[in-house]
Amino acid sequence: MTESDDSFADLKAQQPVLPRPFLGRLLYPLMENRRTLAGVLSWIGLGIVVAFIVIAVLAPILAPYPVQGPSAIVAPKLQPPSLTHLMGTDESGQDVFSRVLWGAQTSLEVMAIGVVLALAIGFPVGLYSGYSGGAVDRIILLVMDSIYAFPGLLLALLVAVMLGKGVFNIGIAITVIYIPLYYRVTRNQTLSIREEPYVEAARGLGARPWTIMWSYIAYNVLVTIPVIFALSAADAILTAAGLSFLGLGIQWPTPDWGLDLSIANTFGDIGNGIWWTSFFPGLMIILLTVGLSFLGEGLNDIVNPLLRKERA
Amino acid sequence: MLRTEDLSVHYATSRGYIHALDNISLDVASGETVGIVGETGCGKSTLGKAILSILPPRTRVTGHLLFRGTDLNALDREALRRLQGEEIALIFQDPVTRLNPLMTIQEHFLETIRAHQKVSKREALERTTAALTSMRVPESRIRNYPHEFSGGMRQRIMIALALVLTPSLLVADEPTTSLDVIVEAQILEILQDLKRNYRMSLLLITHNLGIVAEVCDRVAVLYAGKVVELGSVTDIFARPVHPYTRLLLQSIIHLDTKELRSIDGQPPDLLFPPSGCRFHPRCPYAKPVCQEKVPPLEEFRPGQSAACLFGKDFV
Repeated sequence: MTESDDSFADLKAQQPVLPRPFLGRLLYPLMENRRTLAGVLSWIGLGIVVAFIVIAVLAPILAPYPVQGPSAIVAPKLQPPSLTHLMGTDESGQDVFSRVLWGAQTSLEVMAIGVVLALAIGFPVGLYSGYSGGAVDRIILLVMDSIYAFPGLLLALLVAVMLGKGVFNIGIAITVIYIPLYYRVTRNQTLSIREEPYVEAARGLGARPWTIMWSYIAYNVLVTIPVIFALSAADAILTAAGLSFLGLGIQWPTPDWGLDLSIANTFGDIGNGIWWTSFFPGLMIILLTVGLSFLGEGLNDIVNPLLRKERA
Repeated sequence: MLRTEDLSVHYATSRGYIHALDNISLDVASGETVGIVGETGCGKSTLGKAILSILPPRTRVTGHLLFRGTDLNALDREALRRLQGEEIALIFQDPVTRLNPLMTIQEHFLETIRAHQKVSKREALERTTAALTSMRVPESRIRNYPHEFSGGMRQRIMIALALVLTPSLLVADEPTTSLDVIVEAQILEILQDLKRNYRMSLLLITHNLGIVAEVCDRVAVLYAGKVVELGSVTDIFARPVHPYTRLLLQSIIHLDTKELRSIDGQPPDLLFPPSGCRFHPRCPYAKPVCQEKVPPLEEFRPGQSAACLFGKDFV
C-alpha cells in the first residue's frame, strides 16, 4: 500500500457516516445537526419524550402498587416520601409514585387521541381547501378561523361539558382545538406548493388531481408537520391537565396528573405542608411539556434554516 | 395535427386583463417542426401552456384550439387529462424545478404511465428503462431522487418522461435555455432523432434563432402576443418581410460581420397594448397610419405571411 492510499483512507475516515435506511432517513436531520444548539435541544426533547413513552408502556410493571380498585389503598394517607413510598401517599392512601407512573399513560393517551385526530382531520381538509381554492376554500377558512378565534381552553371546556368526562372524550375536546391549527398550516403550505413548477409539470403530463394532491403536494407539506405536531402535543398536555384540574377532565380514580393536582389543591395540601401530592404530578406535566417543546423548537430550527439565522 | 384559430389568452390581474396572446392562428402538421420565436414576454410560454391547458385559474381563453379536429377548449376535464401527456406533452425550460423533489425518477415514470394506461408494473418499468436509456440516463440511477442529477441529466429525464407515452405532439418551451452549449447540442440532436423516428410534431418555443434555423421547418415570429410573421425557415431567415423580423435577425452575431444591432425600446406593456400595429412605437419605418390600423396577417409570398401594412415595400 502506498502513502497516498493511506491518506485517502484517512480522508474517508473523516467523512461522517450517514445513516442509510428508513429510520435513518427520518433521523437524518437530527444526526446532521447534533452538534448545533437546535440539535442538542431536539435530542434532549426526544430523550424525554421517549422516556415518558417507556414509562407509560411499562407502568403496569414499574408501578409498585395498584392504582385502581379497592386494593389501591395501600397505606395510611398523606405519608411523606419514604423508601416504601418514594413520593409519599395521597389523601386516599394511594401511592403517589404509582399514580404518577400510570398518569403518564393517561396523559399520553389523551394527547395521542387529541393530536392524531386533529392531524387526521386538519391535514386532509387543509390540503383539499388549499388545492381547490375558490368559494369552498373561503367557507372552510371562515369556519376554521371562527373556531381558532376561541380561546383554546374555553372551547375544550365547552366540548368536555357537552361530551362528558373520560379519556376519549377529553381527547376529542383537544382535537377540536387543534384542527384549525393543522388546517391553517397545511392550507398555507398547500397554497405555496401548488404553484411549484413540478406541480405544473405534473398537470402537463396528465396526472389526476387526486395524484397531484397526494403525491405532489401532501408529501411536500408533510415536511413541516413534525414541528407543529410536537408543539401542539406539548400544548395538548397542558390543556388536558387544565381540564382535569378544573374537574371536567379525567375522573377519579383514573390516575391523571392534572386530576391529582386538582385533588391536592382542593384539600389545601400545600398550606398544610404536604408538598408531595402536588409537586410530583406537577413536575411530570412540566417535564413532558418541556421535552415536547424542546423537540418541537429544535426541529423547527433545523427544518427552517432561515429562522435559525434570524434568531442567531 | 394542431391548429389554433383566433386563440386569445388574457391573464386576470388586479390591474386588469393582460392580453398575453391575441388572435393567434397557427397550424402544425404531422411530423412538422414549427418554431415560435420572440422576445421575453411576448407570449411564447403562454402559447405552450395554452396548448397543454395548464394556464392558471381565472385565465380567459377564447378562440379555438383544435387537436386532430377536436377543440381542446371544449373538452371536459377528464378527456383533457387523458390527452395531456399521452398525446400532447410539454418540455419545460427549467428542468431543475420540474421534478418532485420527494419522488424518485422511477416513481415519476410509473405514475405518469399508469395515469394513462393500464399496464402492469413490470411493463411500466421496462418502458421506463427503455425511455431513460434512449436519453442516455443509466438504468442504475432509476431509484435516485431529482437532486442527485445534474441539470442536463434532469432535462433528459424530463424529455424521457414527456416521451415515454410517445405523444404525437411535443411542445418544447425553451428546452435548452438553462443548459450549456454541449448539452444543448445533445438535446437538439435528440429532438431531431425523435422527429425522424416517430414522425412526431414539434412546437419549439425559443428565443434562440440559431436553434430555429437548425431544427425547424417553419417559424412563427411573435411580438407582443401577436403573430407578426409566419413562413418557412428559409424564407424567414433569407427574405424576412416584417420589420420586426428583420431587426430580430440583425440582432444576432454573425461570424463574418462584427456588427451587432439592437432593437431600440422595450416590449410593450400588455396591460395596455399600443393601438394599431403593436410594433409601431419601435418600428423605424412606422407611419402615422400604423398607429390606427391593425395590420392583418397577409400572404406576401406563397407560404409566407406577415402582419405589416407596408409589407409590399419590404418584399
